[in-house]
Amino acid sequence: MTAEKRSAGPLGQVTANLLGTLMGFPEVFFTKLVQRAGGWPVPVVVPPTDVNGQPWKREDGGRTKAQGYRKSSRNDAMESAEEYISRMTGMMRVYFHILKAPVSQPLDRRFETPRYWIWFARIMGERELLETAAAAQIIYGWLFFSRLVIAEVADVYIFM
Amino acid sequence: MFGLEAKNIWGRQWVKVLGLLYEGVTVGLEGGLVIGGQSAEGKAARARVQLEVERIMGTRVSY
Repeated sequence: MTAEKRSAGPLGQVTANLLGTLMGFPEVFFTKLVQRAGGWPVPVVVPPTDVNGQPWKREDGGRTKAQGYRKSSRNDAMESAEEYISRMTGMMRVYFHILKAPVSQPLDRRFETPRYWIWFARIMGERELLETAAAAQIIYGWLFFSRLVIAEVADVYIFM
Repeated sequence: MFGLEAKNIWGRQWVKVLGLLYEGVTVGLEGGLVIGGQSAEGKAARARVQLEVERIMGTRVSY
């Protein structure tokens, strides 16, 4: 799921193709994405309680796990801020690629290009998220993509 | 792209977005909100955002 820069593009394109052809895949994919990347794909602050209104269960990893934190790959402790940010950025990179990917049929709205702009509008309203280091790094990735997304749209307009 | 820059295509709305972001990573938004917070990682990421905005706008602001 996490992808380094050069594999994120092809991975995003393949995923976008599958999202357009496999029944039920958009639902499953987005669920898995949120499960692993916490509130970032929406983006939204993970609430203080679970869906049933009860506190997050400690044995399930608690709220931190819901936010996407995992055990470090180096030792048994929780991962460092650096590891967390790089994993979140990697996943979001694939998501942004999916939003940008040219597809032959309309996708589920969670994967349509307008989501790219909605994502930004939303995060600018989420103060708690904005003040985290991960937000700044993910926004940097988003900004980097804006050029590509605009180019995609511009091409369409120019050739229409 | 025919040499068109993003800011020319999207015009004022896009410039507004970039302006907001720029404020958020430099002087801060309303209520003292600075994007990225105060950790070392946050500061580094914030500088990257700032540079990228400057690159898109084609201006390098010097202090």
